[in-house]
Amino acid sequence: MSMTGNLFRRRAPAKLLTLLVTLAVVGAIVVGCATPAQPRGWSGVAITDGDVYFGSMNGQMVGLHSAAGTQLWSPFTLEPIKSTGGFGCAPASTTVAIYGTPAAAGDLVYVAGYDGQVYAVNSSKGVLRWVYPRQRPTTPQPVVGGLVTALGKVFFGLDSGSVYSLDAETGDLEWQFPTGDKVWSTPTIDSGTLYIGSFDKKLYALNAADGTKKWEFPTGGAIVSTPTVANGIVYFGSFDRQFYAVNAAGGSLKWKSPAGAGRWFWAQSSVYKGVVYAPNLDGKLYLLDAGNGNEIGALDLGSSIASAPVLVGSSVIVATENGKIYTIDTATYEKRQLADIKQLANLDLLIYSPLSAADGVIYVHAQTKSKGSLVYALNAQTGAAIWRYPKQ
Amino acid sequence: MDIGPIWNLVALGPVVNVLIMLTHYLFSSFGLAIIALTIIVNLALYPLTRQQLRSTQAMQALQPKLAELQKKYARDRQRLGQEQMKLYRESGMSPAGCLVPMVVQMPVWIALYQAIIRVLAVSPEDFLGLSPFLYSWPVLYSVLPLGNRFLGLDLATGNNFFLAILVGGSMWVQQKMTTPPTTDPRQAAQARMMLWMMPLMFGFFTLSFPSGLALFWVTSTVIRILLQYFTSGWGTLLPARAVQVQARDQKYKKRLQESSSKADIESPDKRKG
Repeated sequence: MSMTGNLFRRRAPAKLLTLLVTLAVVGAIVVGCATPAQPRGWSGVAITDGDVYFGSMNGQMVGLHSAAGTQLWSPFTLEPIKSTGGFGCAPASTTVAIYGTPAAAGDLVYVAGYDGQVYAVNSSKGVLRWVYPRQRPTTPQPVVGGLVTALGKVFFGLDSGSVYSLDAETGDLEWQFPTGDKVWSTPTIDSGTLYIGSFDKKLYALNAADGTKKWEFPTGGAIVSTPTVANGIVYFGSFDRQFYAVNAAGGSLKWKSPAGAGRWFWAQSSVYKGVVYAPNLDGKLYLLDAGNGNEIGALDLGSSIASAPVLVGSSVIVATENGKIYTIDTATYEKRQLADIKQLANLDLLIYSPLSAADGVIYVHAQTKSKGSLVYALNAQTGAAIWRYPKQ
Repeated sequence: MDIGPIWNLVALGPVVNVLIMLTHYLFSSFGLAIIALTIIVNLALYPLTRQQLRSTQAMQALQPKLAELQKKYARDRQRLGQEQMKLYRESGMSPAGCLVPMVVQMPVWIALYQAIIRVLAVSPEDFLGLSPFLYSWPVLYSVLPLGNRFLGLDLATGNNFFLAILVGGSMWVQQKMTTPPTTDPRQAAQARMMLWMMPLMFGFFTLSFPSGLALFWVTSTVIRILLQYFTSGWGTLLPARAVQVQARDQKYKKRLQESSSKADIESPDKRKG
């Protein structure tokens, strides 16, 4: 045998190995550096009659006693999605992400999944009462916004672009209203009118009883934030970085913020004593005069604000993405750090979920970057942790 | 040192914004924007790509001569290195000629890939995470969110067998064009494995990843096929060309065997032994 042949034979396995390793490394860099994130969810905490409910990041609705944070019943699991395609490499089923905050009324708690199904669960036993649609659609349309109950109905928006109204007792469809694009906004009901934003850049006012349109208001960008209604004015921010005040009666513009914000208005605003507290993804909480939109100030909280603030007494409590919770004195507009969830949990936690509060207690649902989440009950005055779920 | 923010500032951010802006000017079609940006990036990188293709071609042409040198100086590695460098100099090429353009291009491709993932905003988390990348150009705020439909495809979802075949098929063609024919059974087996591995791998990715990425892969591959064609023709894709190159290889192999026998007789080491 020639020497060249021997040389090649000796080097061939090494060459092949180098080639395979190179391919694997390049493949890992190209594919692994950025893969689409799996939907994980960021449900807020609903409070009613001494109990709290939230959608966990493993596709379950959890019911807790608000005083101690102990479970009311075994968490209710939304039907997992069976995997298709991927030559069987994908897991057999995946949990359903829950983005919208559940809603409670009477003896039922309502929760919606990213698979487009809405579940009504008995609030004292955690047992399913009904599900809508009755069968999971072949092409599910996600629910990203929260649910709202009023007038014996459950209202929500769908990724397909429609707003739905279901009978709260039976889950039967009462009406649906199509917008021009996805609906990720949570509806707001006030005096029989439903207000909701759409990705089609419009805010809609619908008759909550029958879904007929009262008016629509166009903006320059998509609307994800939940509208806030106070004193006959609808307040909301848009992706065009402007904040709007629109007359609830006819949908005419009352004012538009004179200067645009740095990024999108994502979270719902709060209105208290003539001042609008509008959080923005640029990390600032904009303080606007509710009457004319003039900027009173902008509090820089140092990190993106995707979580809706909450009013506790005369304070506005707001959480930033990096886990810090601030209390804003509505008399002086001074901010004070109330808590740091990362320090409390000693975990790298993020806050996207809206805050909720009752009886001087704030409820925060924070999530880790990889998987899992925690709910904290904090004293609204001191920021001290009352309990956390899960305990460990 | 965390390079993430620097990468986002200099690579990912610009590509994300240009991609969204192109969508606005291309009839709000994100599919057209992906195709357009892939073409633009390929044109911008054309000098490097051409250099890489030519270097690869030249390196393939030098293989018989390099094999001769390896044979001749098998027991003197230092001399072998010197002679190889001399051969590269005389041929007017650098051994790094194939590698450098590829290394320079790689970050651009990774940025384009990541930008498509970001802009597609498959999940609400992805969409929320897009906000920090956006420049303060008003056009970016009016066009978002982007429509995901293109030629009947949902660019944000995967599991499309037609696209998987298209991605795999186009990659096979490109791979076939660049695979040098060989008469050595081991090299032939290695080449066969390479010919099928990449197309199958990316065909599989297409089923699991959003179709927008598959569109990017198909466009890139088609452009590479065209560039390859204008640089070195159809290569071994056409059977006639493959036969021609194999004949050339046989000729070199014969020469090599002749020189090998001669060297075995005249080798001073052998005489000593």
